[in-house]
Amino acid sequence: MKSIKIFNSKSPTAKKLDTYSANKNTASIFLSIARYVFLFSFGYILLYPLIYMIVHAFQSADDFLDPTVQWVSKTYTFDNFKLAAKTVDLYKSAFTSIFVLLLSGLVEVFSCGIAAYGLARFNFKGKKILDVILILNILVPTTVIIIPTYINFRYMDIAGILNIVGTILKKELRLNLLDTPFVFYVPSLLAVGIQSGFFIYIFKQFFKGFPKELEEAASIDGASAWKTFFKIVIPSSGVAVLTVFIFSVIWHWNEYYRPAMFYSTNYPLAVKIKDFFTLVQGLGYNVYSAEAVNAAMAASIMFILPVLIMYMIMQRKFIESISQTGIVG
Amino acid sequence: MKFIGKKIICVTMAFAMLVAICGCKSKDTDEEGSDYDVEYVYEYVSGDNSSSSSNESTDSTEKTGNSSKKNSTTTSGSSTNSKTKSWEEIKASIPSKLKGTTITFYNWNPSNSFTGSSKAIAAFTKETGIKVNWVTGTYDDYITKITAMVASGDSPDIIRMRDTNVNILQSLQPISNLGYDFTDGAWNQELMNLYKVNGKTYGMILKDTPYFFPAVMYYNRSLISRYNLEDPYNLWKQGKWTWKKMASMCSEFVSAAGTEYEGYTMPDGGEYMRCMGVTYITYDASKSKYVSHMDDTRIVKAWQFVSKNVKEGNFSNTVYNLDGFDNGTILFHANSAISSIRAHFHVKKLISNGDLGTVPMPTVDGQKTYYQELGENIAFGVPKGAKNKEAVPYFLRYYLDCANYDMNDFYCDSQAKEVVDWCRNQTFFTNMDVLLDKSRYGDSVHDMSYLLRQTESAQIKSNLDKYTAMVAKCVNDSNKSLESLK
Repeated sequence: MKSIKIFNSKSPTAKKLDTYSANKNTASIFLSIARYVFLFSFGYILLYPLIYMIVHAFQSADDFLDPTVQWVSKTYTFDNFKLAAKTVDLYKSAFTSIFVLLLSGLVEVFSCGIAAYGLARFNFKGKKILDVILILNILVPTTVIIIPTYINFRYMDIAGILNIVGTILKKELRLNLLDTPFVFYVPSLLAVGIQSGFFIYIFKQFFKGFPKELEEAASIDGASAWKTFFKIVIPSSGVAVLTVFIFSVIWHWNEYYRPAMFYSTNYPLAVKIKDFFTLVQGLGYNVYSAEAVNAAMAASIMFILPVLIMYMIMQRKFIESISQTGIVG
Repeated sequence: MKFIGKKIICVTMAFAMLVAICGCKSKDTDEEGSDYDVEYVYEYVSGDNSSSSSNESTDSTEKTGNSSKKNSTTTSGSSTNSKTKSWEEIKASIPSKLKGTTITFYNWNPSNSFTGSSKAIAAFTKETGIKVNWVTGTYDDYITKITAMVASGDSPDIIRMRDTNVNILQSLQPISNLGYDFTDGAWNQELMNLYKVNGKTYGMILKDTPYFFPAVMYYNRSLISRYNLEDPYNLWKQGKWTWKKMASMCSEFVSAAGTEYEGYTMPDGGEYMRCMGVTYITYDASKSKYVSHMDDTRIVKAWQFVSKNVKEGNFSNTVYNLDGFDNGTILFHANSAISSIRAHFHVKKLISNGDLGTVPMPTVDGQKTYYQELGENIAFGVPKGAKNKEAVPYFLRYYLDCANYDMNDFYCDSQAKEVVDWCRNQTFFTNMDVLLDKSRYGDSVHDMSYLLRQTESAQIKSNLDKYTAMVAKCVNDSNKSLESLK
């Protein structure tokens, strides 16, 4: 019969264990406190600009100038949003942002996926050169190539054919894409749009880790490369597609430089927000006035709100898709 | 070997990144000098010892409020007494082929930014049949976009310029290409010569134009009367409006009003040295060169004056506090005359209350010459490849003429108009500090100003010396770029 050891809480061993547990508890409490203090401090630093923006977006001009008002306003108002909407010509600029930039961002997800699949899965002549060009696309800043790009869009040609025909006919046949949405649609469709190199790189790395067995199985069943891509690879690439989709939407929404250069009218929201203080002056407001500053905060909130909401929704799906994706590496 | 090669590339890139991070310089904004007790070296200039070749003057009457003869020596062979043609004569000389054509005017402000601008354009179109297409670009990308437009052959016909900035000049063509006679006395040859490079002029501006914005000093009339201070306008008229006087008024004001008030909010602190006729970089039109003046002792003396007054609380350390000035907590503010335009937004409250007083910049005590700084040196240029360049001078001749604006309505009051008109006849001084592009050289004029106005007098020289190499490089680079305009 096994002897049952009864735990004597008054034994020296038990006391040692108690002391150890107590010390451990104290240490963990201190650690928890320290952790929360650090997280709250860090969170405060990160969230401070956002809180400042929200407070001032709803604050009246009088409260802004009142030194006794810090975070809690005495009066709340939506006038700042009205002024902001008027300054940036909200409907027009939002229309451009959504139907030009966002749309081209969505198209880019699709085109970059195709390009990445080709680079990941197929061997062909010139593939290494394309890999180098891909890296250059990521490394070379837009400002360096903006002028040749501008000229390119001003005289858009297809392999020089339009130029040759135009020279023969003594007419300018090359297309002027400037000030049209095609300055974004065309590069996105051809996977050379905003940050496309980076997107292709993400997709490529993901597809490289994709098991070939699935594709081989599809191939045995008679599926073409396109069918394999759309029926097998894409449905299983939710994580990568979602990641690229989020990045694409955010980067296209925030894009300022290219629209400022390629457009002369109908600027998207990002350009209007960047030039907010110049625009608000045109409405007769001192750029340093309380009204202008509060309106700028309101404009910033209007600008980041759609992306913030989208990200909060997508983040949940993003985590879900990670857990649902069974294939790893 | 392949594997080692990849490793080498990775290590090289990591090293490059590390060097880039280490290369970020830390800025010491506070001079922890040990010489707080040392008497600052400061003496007023007892005579005119201008070292800039473009600013010699012998006229000693400019200090007063009387109109005086303009004696700028930035010109060469310019005529200020040419006969001024009437608009009817000009209109009669417009080639008939220009009727029905369109001029594209590229700007960074909308056309309604200036009172009467849209009206003047409409009137011009009605009189001549030449249409004007006003295109507004973004301010930050203004020069890059012009360069891109010129490179693509899509140049606008007119662009607005602010100074002899080589980055914009490279996109322009000389006005001699326009086939227009600029000897008409209406054109401001003195200012246009500031846009002369290697014998070719690139900028156009009229003499009597509302688009002339010299640097002026503003003051709050209600504060002056409330605290029984001397009226700066009267001081100017009596020839007593000097920097020393202004500083003492600031001191008097702050003592009487309290420390929540401030005497003077500066644009950048360099106004005093510019009133001495010197700044970090100027443009010598006679030699078509940018010149560095970092070794000029007047710059040290100027900053000693400014930092002394900042330390004594007479001048605010916060620059460009337009809000404070407009809200009546600051007595003086220097800015371009654009702030005195009735419809302008800078100091709306003061203008609407009739409290905005305007006087020229104070003179430097003991200095003979009054140097009129051009706050916004506006001129207009024609980019290369402009399709309707011939129509441009006719348009500008009309658009820039005061006669086509209600000048009484243009400025906030008659005093502002009087002061601006007086400034037109002074020795012009233009500074090219704008070439110090922070993104290119690491620091801008504002960074230098921030450091210098908080520096003890004894350390001003050594702090200025820190920027000498940077300014020299900027001047060198800009002069090299000017070579391409030959």
